[in-house]
Parts: sequence; structure tokens; C-alpha cells
Amino acid sequence: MTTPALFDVIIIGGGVNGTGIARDAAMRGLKTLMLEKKDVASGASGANSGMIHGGIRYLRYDRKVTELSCIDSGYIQRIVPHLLFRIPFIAPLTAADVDHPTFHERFLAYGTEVYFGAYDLYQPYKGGLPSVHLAPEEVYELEPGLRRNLIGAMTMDEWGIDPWRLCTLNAVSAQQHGAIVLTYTQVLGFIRGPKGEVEGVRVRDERSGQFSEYRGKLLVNVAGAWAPKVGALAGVNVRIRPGKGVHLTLDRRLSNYGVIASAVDGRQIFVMPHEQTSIIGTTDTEYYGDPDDLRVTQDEVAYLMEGIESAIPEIRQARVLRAWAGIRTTLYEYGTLADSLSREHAIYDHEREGAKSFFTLIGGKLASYRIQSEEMTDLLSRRLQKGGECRTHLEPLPGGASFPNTMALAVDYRMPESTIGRMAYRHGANAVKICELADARPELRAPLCRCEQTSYAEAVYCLREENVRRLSDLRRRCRVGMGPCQGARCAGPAAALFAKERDLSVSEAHEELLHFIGARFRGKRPVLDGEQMAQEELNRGNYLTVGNLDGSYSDG
Amino acid sequence: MADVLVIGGGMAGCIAALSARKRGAEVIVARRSLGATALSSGAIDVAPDPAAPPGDMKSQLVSPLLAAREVARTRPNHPYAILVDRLDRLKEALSFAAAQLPEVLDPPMGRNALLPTPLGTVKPAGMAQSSQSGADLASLPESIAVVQLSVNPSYDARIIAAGLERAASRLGRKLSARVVESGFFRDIEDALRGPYELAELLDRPGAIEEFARDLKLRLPPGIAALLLPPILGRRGKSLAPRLSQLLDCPCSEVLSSAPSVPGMRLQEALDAALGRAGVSILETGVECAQPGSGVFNLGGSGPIEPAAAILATGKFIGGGILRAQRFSEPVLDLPLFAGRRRAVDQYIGDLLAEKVEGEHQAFRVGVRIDADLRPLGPQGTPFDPRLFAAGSVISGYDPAADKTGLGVAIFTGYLAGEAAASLVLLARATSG
Amino acid sequence: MESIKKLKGDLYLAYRALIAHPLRRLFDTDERSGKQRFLDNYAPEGLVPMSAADRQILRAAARCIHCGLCDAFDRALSVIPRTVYDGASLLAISYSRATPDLPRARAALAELREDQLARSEAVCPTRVPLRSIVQYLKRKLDEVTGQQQRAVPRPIKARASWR
Repeated sequence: MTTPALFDVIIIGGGVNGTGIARDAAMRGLKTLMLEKKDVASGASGANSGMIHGGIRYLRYDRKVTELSCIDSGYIQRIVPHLLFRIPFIAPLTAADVDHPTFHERFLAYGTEVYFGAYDLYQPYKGGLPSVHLAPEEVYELEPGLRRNLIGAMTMDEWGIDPWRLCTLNAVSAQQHGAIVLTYTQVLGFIRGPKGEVEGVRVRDERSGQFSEYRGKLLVNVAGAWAPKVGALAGVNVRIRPGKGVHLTLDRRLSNYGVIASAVDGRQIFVMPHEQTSIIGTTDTEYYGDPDDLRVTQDEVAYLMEGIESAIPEIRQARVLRAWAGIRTTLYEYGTLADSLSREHAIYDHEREGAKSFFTLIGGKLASYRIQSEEMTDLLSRRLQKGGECRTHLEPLPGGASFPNTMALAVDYRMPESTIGRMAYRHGANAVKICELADARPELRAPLCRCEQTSYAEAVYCLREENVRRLSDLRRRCRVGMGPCQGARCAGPAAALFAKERDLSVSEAHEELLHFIGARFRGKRPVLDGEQMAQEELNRGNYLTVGNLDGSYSDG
Repeated sequence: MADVLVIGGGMAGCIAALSARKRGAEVIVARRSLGATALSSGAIDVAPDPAAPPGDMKSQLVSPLLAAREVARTRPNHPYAILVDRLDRLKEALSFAAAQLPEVLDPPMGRNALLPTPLGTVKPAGMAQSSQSGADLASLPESIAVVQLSVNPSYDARIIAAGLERAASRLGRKLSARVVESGFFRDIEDALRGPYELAELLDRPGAIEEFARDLKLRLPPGIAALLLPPILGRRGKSLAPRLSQLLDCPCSEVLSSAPSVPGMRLQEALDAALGRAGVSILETGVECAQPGSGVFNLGGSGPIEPAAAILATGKFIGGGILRAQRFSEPVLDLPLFAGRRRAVDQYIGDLLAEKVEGEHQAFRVGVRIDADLRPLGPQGTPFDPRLFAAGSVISGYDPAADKTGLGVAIFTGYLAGEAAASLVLLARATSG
Repeated sequence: MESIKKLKGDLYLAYRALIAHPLRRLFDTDERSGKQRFLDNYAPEGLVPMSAADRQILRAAARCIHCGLCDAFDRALSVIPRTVYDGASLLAISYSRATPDLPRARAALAELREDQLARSEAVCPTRVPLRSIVQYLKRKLDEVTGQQQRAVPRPIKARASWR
């Protein structure tokens, strides 16, 4: 397909908003270009808690938001059901002296019960189940690890999701509807018309080094933490309050239920099951550093562990795989559009700042991406007087139309059913296509990442169909290297596979491999402890002692 | 009644046991499980040239003994530095190991070999298994082939071949490496088999002959050496010589990362050597109720008070060093060091470099030894005159960073065994 | 404006606390205990509770460093097809990580016997109790399967559009 000389819409940013808008715009027939300077979901969209929740905290002052969030959560389930999994949460109701709870403690307990009861009214929109009040003994039976300071607990549930897959599937869907998606392509500047109107972008492809220009009628800045920088290139002032959030990943599910705890400063934090791991989160601190160089500090790790320990004393014995951080783009001020759906996100039209045809969508949350994208695309469509109604809540995302019979696939294609199971979680109906790949070439049945049950066939499928340009991208597509061993066995073979598929030279392959294991190491560094030390010794054995990557790698 | 108790049964522990046994001591090895030796590539890292810039191949072809002296000079906390006055015996120690393991190890070489790795790199090694030595980049013929198992993609011959050609040009020599496919393993089931299984399948009667027949049909003319995946037989002597004979072409194995068949061969050869020497292996962990008492508990076998003990428990994989918010040595609670500083409960991030290829103090943590290989206690003096240490439980070196892993294990094991045996002989002499 | 909105929000919650919620509880005919309701909600999807004993096994399984030494001595590999079972290491590094996925491991576990893993367990550098893990997995699989049979469909309340 040839690149249009003039796009209808150019989207800057490949997170959940960017890919969501790209899909919506492309589905409405708008000629769409999406530009992302790294890989899809590299920013906040790839570093969040991974939940499609109903906005329970808005119940107090913005019930409409909660209602809409729950409805939209229901839509997301309909379009990509295979990617969602239920997470029940236990909210402990505590007392300093459980036999003599104070009035305040009892008030809080009843208040929580009422609050969750109110949320129950919206749960049916997203297939959630009614909240339940538990007596203390019942809580301990369900969650024996909890500290014995409870006068009861309230439970409810939310949905978890793999946010990388969500963004990838939106991008692929956009492409299937004719959009062009360019990753590792950074916007360096804007092309302006005679009256200052924004007409296009100047970009550079990070991998090839090539410069290009693209023209579009309307341009949308959804670059998240980088939105102010992108805005500045257009001479407009986009203000955000950057909130850094840190999470920890544990190697497995220690419980099937999430637990809400209070950190030392009273903030609510949680530990919850997520796919085949557990996630502890999160923090919220002002961050004015470089969004491209986020590091997790000792204090942040200690804060989270101490906070969870207050509810679950044995959490320190868990194996922490890695620590990761992202930047939330909270609004600095409210949006300029009067009928903005929530206080959380805002759409700015920069015409009044002299940058006509340039918009910014800032803020919001993962769970509301579809509404936010719909709102933005409605605006674009009206302005262009082109494109019909939004259908993103009706059309399934790629693979979302049906869920395969994993046992039948395992028997028919002679692969372990657990491998098919993870494949089906990530790809839904498209798991069949991956199995067919393996059928044609028996070596593709071999496991690439055994921790995450990723076969060579799945990796090849992702490499060919899902916009993979660096080896590291593969971990977002099919979790290669994301399991407990963090790439001990699979990083080398993954690099060799990548080199073969992309016809890379040996030094390029080594560069990709070092970049990949370097990223794994960065995650481990703040939390390396316990068996993770032995794991790291093994990993170093494979890549440095035997593989001699540090001795062999040089730019020459 | 055992004179010497060796705690830990990897390379360091086994060489220590054999060294003590050779000098007449009765030795018991107590081993809780397998460890880093069984997971190693099976080749022996003695020392690379520490001053060589990354990517410089030629300078790695040094004599490992000279390189060890350079390591001692540039890394003052490294065991080679602490034992620098006895480095002249490094060759003796390596030869001893090779002589004890004749079915797997070739004798030490005058210079490091450059051996191909599964990542498409090469690495220097001071000693290698006989199935590996022929793959030395400095002595390979000009025209070689690398075998790709058609249904096992995790071992990628394409990148190994391309990597060898690149390394060869860096070395200033010509090499043409082609990829040749083997169709011997062809079932769907085979695609899911791991290296140990594949190696066992090749051990079956008639298998290597069939493997050779299949390969012979596919070998282009003019190939003067063949590199194969590290699966040439699970037991003892590899199938490399047999395959070379069948194909009339020298065959060698590429190095292996974990899981490693050559590593397992090395460990099993050590066990066989212990058996031949009359050293018992007890499959048990060791506890010491009162560190310093000299009395050890060997699980169900009851307590033992040996004349000397050698701690060769390994690092994190072996369980010789633990970290659970703080570092600890589980058998005797010996103080641990990172360099000259005590390693206790510092934030781990302070002991790790920024990049994975940097210098990490955390992986050099271990017990500090004196020049007689005795671990130091909290006062800075030897913890117990009867106690010695060998292998990666010793602080100051990181096999991944300074590429001296099994070489240090052999050297320290050899000397520790000798020192332990001396104590035994002394005790016997004085007791009449 | 802001404070009016906040007042309205709090008034609504007060209404729920004082009127709507107590009424709802009054007319609640569900006789199940809280724990039973909770389990009926979630257990059919494989979201079963983990006992303290389960946790101990999981903590031990979490010691696995994926070195593969156990696979070298795994006797089950000679009797179970590779397309079904891929080695003891998977028990620690994969199958025991999440109970909702356990039904997919059914075929792998069906023919597995603990005694086939005795040597594998003995050689493990980090002492992962492979045999106890097999017991745990089979027990948990039975529990999840039993719960699954009680599953009821959960439709989502339909709204074609939020407008």
C-alpha cells in the first residue's frame, strides 16, 4: 500500500490512547498515520497496574464517571474477551484492638460496605459480581496470610488485562483498516503553514536513521509523559503533573485474590494476582526528571514492601522478579471543552494558541481508553466532516471474535495444552493461525520461553504480524523473557530467531541481545534478593561466562 | 573414619578431595545437590588477558598462566592475587585435574583456546574437553560447517557460523563457515526434547552411525571440520571421536550454556574419579551445631569430627552464599566480604553496577581467605586452623566478569586439599 | 459549583448508608454465608483459595532457577509423550504459577507419578520439592475441576451505546 500524500489524521504517540484513536479513526475510513518514538505501549500504557476497572473511586463525587467506566469496561470485554481475567479483591476492615473496635473503625467498616454496595449497582455493566461482606474468621479462611487485626472485610472484583497486548491489538486492528503504524519513529518538528497552522511532521526513524516528512489535515498529540515536549515543538504549552508510579512483580500467584492495604502514609496500595504473576503497586510521586530514564529507588521498593507487609506479614518471603516504573499524566488543570466526560482527561484544541489543526489528549486511564479515543475521534471526524459513527465497541479486536478450544487444538496440532492455553490468552481466535504455522514447520513447536509457554511459532507470528522492530518488543507481544528466569534460557535463542527473521548481522544480533538482557537487569537491580541471586548467577553464566557477550561485544 | 571432610561436591570440592586423597588422607565428600559445575560449559576458564579491549581476539591467545599473573596484578582481592606466591603451581593443579579426568579433559594448553559459543561469539578457555578442543578458532581449518538440527531451533547454527566468520576476521585469519542441516531428529516429539534427552538418544546403539549417514549425504565437499551442537552423547567420553571417524572429518562440540550436557559429563567424570580414588560421596547437606567446634552433622550419618574440613559450597547457585535481605554463609556463619568491606545487609543496588556488563560487587561476595586458604573469622584471623575454603565460596572473583571460574576452583581445590592432607599427616605423626 | 457537587455526592452516600443499604440488607433472602457467596462467585473460574500449606509449597517452588538439572534425571520423560509433558522443571517454573491455568496441565499431570521425580528432586541446587509440587498440583487441579463444574454463565448487562 502506498503512503498517502496527505493523511486525514496524524497521531503522535503509541500508547493506549494513540492506538485506540488510530483504530477508531481507521475504522471510520479516515486516512490515519500513527507515530511512536519507541515501541507501542512503552510509556505509561506499558507500566500500569494492568486493570480495566470501573472507577470505583469516582463513586463519591462523580457517579456518572463510574457508570461510564463500567459500561466501557463491559465494551472492552466484548471486543477482546480473551485478554481479560477476573481479579477479586479483599478490602480488609481493620481495628487496633479487634475485640474492641472504636467507633471510628466501625464507621469506616460500615462506610466501606455502603460504598462497595453502591458500586454493585454498576458492576453488571462489566460482568462484575456483587460485593460480599466477610466476617473475620471467613477472611482468614480465604486468605490465611492476612495479619490478624481484622473486624471483617469487603470484597468486590475488577478485571485484569495485559496492557501491551491491548495496545498491540488496537494497532494491528488500525492497520487492518488501512492505518499506517510506524514505531521507533520520533517527531522532531512540525511543518507549519503560512498562518501558523500545523500541516505535518518531520520525523526520524531511530533504527534506520532516515528522516521523513508526513502531512496531515489534523494532528493529535497523545504522547503521554512526552506530550509537553511534543507540544513545545509546536509552540504550545501542554502542562501535566507527572506522577511516577512504581510496581513490583512477583514470580507467581500466591493468592487468587487481591488484597488492599494501607501504606505507611495512609495511601491505598495493593497486591494482586495478574496472569501468572502477582503485582504490588503503586506509588505516586512528583517526577520532573527525564521520562526516558526512569529508575526505581530503594525507598520506593521499601515503601511498597513495608506497606504490603502491614497486611500480609509473609510477603517478604515472596520472590520479587523486578521493579518497574511509569509516569501518569495527571491533568494540571481541567480541560477547555465544557462537556468533557471526566475530570481525569482533557482534550485541548490548540487553535487559540496559534496552532490550528493541532490537538492534545492528555490524562485519562487505561480502562477508559476506548471512550477517550471515541471522544477524540468524534471531534476529528466532525472537524473533517468525514467518517461515520464509532464502532470500536462493537467490532472485536483481532482474535477477539471467539475463543478457541484449547484441548482440541492441543490434540490436533500436537502441542502441550498449557502452551496453547497461554497462546489463546494472548491471541484468542488467532491461536489457530499460530498452530497452523507450527503445523507447516515442525521446529516451530519447540518452546522458546518455557516459563511463559511461548513457542517458536507464536514468536514468529508476532514477529511477522505485530510490528516488532527490536528484540525487546517481543517481550511485550508474547512475554519472552518475562517469566521467573527473566531470559536465562530464551534470550539468546530469541536473539538468534530475531536475527534470522530480520536477516541481521551477528553484531546487530548481539546489540539486540545486550539491549534485551540489559532491560531485564534494570528491572532486577533494585530488588535482587533470595533465589533471584542464584537466578542471576545462572543468567550471567549463560550470557557472560559462556556467551562472553561483554568480551566479544564492541562497536568495531 | 574420615580425616578430611569436603563440604560441596562440584569442581572445587572434588579436586580438593582428590588432592587430599593423593597425599594419603581418608576423605569424605558431602554434597547436598548438584551445582554450578554441572551447569558449566564443561570447558575450564583459567584466565583471559584482563587488559584486552572487548572484541580483541588476538590478545586472548595468551598463556593462561601468564594471564593469571596479570589478573593477580590487576585485581588485588582475586584468589590468584591472594595466592600469588603459589601461582607457579597453577599448571601443576590444572595438569592434576586433567590427569584425574582423562575421559573428558584434554591436558592444559600452552595458550588459551578461542571456543565458539551458542550466541555466535567466541570465548577464551585454558582447558577444554576433548570434544571441544578441536573447535578452537585459532586452529580450525579454513573451510568448516556448523550443523543445524532441523527440528531444534534453540541451537542456531546460522548465528554460530556467522559469528565464527566475524571472529575469524578479527583474528586476522580466513574462515568460511557454512550451515549443514541434520535430519536425524525429525519427529514432532523431537522438537520438544531438551539437550540431555537428545544426547541420550545419540548414545543408543546404531544411533551415531545413522546420524553420520544422514550427515554424510548433506555435507558439501571440501569441509575440513565440523561443529556440532553440544549433545554428542550423555555418558563419559563423548561421541565426537566416533563421529569424526565415521565422517572422516574432525568433529567438535560448540560450548553449551545451561542446561549443559558437557557440564554434566564433567560432573560425572569427577564423581567417577572420586570412586576410583576411594573417596565416598554422601548425598547430604552438612550442618554445624557449634561453629568452631570442628564437629559436623552429616544428616542421617551422624556427627563427624574430621582432622580438617574444606568448605567448597559454591556461591548462590550452590547455596554456599545466601542472600535474604542480608548475606549469610549457611554452614558456619562465616563473615562475608565484598572486596575488603563486610557484606551484610547493604541495599543490593549499592553492590550492583548500572549495566549488566559492569562490575558487580554483589557477585564477588564470599569468605575471605588467607594465603593458606583458611577462611577468616570475624577478628580477621583464620576462623579455625582446621578449616579451608575452595571455589566460588571465596570472595573476590566473579566467573562471569573475570572469566576465571573453574580455573580458580581447580587451583584453590588442589591447594586446599594439599593443606588439609598436611594437617592430617601432621596429626598422625604427632599422635605416634 | 465544586462544593455543591461534593455536597450532592456526600448526600447520595448518606442516603445509601442510612436508607438504601439497610433496606437492601433487610430484604436480602440469601442465606449463604459471606464466605460461601464469595466462593460461589469466584471459585468456578479457578479462583480458589490458597491454604497456608499451599503457600508453603508455592514458596518452595519459587526457588526454581530454571537450570534444567532436574530434567536430566526425570524418569517421566521416558513414558509421557513430549507433546504432552516437557520435563520436571515446568512444574516449578510454569504449572504451579497460577491455578486458573491448571486445567490445561491436566494431560501432563495425568500420567505423572511422584516417584518418577525422586532423582530430579535430589539433584536440584535450590532444593525445589518436586514431588510435593506434583501432589499439590494434582490436588489443586481436582479442586479447580470440582469448582468449574458449578460454573454458571455470567452475562454482561447490555448497553448498545453509552450515549
